Amino acid sequence: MNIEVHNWGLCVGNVAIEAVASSSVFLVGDNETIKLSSFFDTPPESYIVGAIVPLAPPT
Amino acid sequence: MEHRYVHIRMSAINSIVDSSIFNIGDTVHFNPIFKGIAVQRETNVWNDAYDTDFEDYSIFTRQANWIDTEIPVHMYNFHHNGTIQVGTVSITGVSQSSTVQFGGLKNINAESRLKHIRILQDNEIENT
Repeated sequence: MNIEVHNWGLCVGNVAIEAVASSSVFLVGDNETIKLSSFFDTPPESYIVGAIVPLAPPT
Repeated sequence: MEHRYVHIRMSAINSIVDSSIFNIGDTVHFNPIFKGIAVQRETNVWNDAYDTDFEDYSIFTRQANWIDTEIPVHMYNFHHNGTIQVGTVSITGVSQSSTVQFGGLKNINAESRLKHIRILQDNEIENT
């Protein structure tokens, strides 16, 4: 696949962003390849009520 | 990759944490990796046991499944106006292998893994 890009002007006025988080990108300009991956994990067994149990599962 | 000059009038960023980058200009490779375990404990004793390891949880060894067929793309850039103009930028936070970039950025390969654990006290007394 061939792409021909003609950039005449790139002007950005005002930008207000709350947060750029967990493998994300805010880019003003050129790019070729972007590969982003984010893993997030809070399963039920991570929610422990009661006695302070040792965190590491018995291996 | 042709380069363009970046002209920023004003930028205000509150916090940049956890392998993140704020860059004015060009970058070729950007490969941040972030691994974190967030433990929230409801207790009045500081936990200095630090008994959690990355090896204990499978989230840190799991592989992302990318598309295997790389699509061949040939891109030809023509910059007729050599500058990037930006007015004012106000950002509160950049975190967990992220980036805020004004200018060229060729290759990005970012990865962030976060495991949350919450340990609450057993408040039987209040319920009775």
